[in-house]
Amino acid sequence: MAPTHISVKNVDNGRDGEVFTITYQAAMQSGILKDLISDFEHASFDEAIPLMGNISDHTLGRIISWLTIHSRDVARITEQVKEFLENPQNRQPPTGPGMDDDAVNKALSSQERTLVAEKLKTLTPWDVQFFEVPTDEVFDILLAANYLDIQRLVDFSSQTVANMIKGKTTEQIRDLFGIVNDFTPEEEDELRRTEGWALPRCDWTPEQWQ
Amino acid sequence: MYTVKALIKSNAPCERLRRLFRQDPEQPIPAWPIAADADCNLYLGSCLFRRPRDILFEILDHLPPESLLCLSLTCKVLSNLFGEAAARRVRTSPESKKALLLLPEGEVADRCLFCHDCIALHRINIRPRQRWRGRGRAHPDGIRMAGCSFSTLYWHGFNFGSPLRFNFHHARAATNKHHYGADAGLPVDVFRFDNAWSAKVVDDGQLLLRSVSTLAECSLGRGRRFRRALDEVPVWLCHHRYSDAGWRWTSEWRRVKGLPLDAEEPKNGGGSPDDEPLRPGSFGDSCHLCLTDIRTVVEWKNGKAGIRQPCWVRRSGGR
Repeated sequence: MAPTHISVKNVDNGRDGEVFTITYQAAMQSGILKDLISDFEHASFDEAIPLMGNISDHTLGRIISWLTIHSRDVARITEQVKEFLENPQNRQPPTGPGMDDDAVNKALSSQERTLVAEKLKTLTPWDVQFFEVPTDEVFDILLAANYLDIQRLVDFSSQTVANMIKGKTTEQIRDLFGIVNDFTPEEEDELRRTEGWALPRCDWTPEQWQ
Repeated sequence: MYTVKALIKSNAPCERLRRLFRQDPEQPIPAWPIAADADCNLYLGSCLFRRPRDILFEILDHLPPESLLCLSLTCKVLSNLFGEAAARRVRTSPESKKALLLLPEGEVADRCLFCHDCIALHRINIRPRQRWRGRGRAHPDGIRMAGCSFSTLYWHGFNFGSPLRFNFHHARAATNKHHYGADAGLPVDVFRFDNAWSAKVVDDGQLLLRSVSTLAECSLGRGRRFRRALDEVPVWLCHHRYSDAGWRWTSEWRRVKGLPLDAEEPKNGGGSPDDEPLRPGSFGDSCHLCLTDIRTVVEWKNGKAGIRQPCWVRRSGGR
């Protein structure tokens, strides 16, 4: 019988961290926890599961809160999509009287799957607020989510970092991540020569305008 | 379970990188900065390099080609990792190239602008027109890009139906000024009209209205464009008089232009006195029908290195 609640804790260099408890449904979003629970089906899970992923208590707490909030997402979104598809006008392709039931059901289930997948990929306002933290913390969450195999959180956090990069020039990205420019002036010139279209020379002075 | 998973994960980046950029499987994957390496101190200050390489690939999945290229050009490690592949992606996609060139436009907007036709950054090139072609056909010196078809497209009719027109590059430069700040681009109102009204009752009970119209040239040049605007843009001085193309041959205007008062009007529109210096000064006139007093003031304000020389004309009418 599956446990209703599961406890996890961070173990770093033999030191036990804070114990966090989540519901079974929320824990199932993590690939590692899911595999653990299925492998030790008959275990009682009375003790907290140790996590060795070098995750800080603060990050683990945030991830647990994310898992709890999103624990019923799939069921909720599937319900919403089903409700949406009840209106024949929303169906693509529209189902008509000429179609047999099998074809209608097939088309509907395919569209339902697509819509649910799309909606699950969309950042909600809660997620946007969740990621309004320093860049370093977003990376910590991404790293921990990657370790815990929470694919949706990995996607969301990497999407957040990607959104930070988008629309920025090379210099602005260096400032964002604290990257040191290690190209020598000669190498930069070489880059300009080979990728001239990407790095236009813009060193004209106003005196040259006339 | 953990070991296998970890193994799969540790091998994933290389395969993933190859899949992501369709790289040759035989090609070695460049090294990631490691803390033990003495040269790595340079990189480990960045939050990007303090994490495993796998994390970077998660982020790369969500980046468009132009951002990939910008990221790859930040340092040698990233450039070696996926620089060439990212460049290839951008090179083969006009949309990505356009998006890429739009990124630095803001930084170089004081000297360059993006052209949607050529998908390139053009240097702003202000070329004064060599010949004055007469009213209705002339326009302020636009920004011309040699070999660019957009140079021949114009927007007409700004400044209240005046014959002035400006081309698409000029429009782009003007919008850049709006987007990227005062130091970038060019002002759309090459000739800026300001009108200020005031009124007061004088001692004998008459209402005195005063209008000060300021026509200012905000662009580069030596005043030729400004003079052309005065010639071609009808500016109403009162209900009976306005400055039109013929006004430039009035005695007042000849004095402004530094022409001798007995100079004859040239035939066929030739002999433009454009190269004559515009002399500062103040000249009075009045309308004999409504008795409006008109005063024209020409002032020069020298700018940097003699290039920017805004010229101000103020007309004030009374009664």
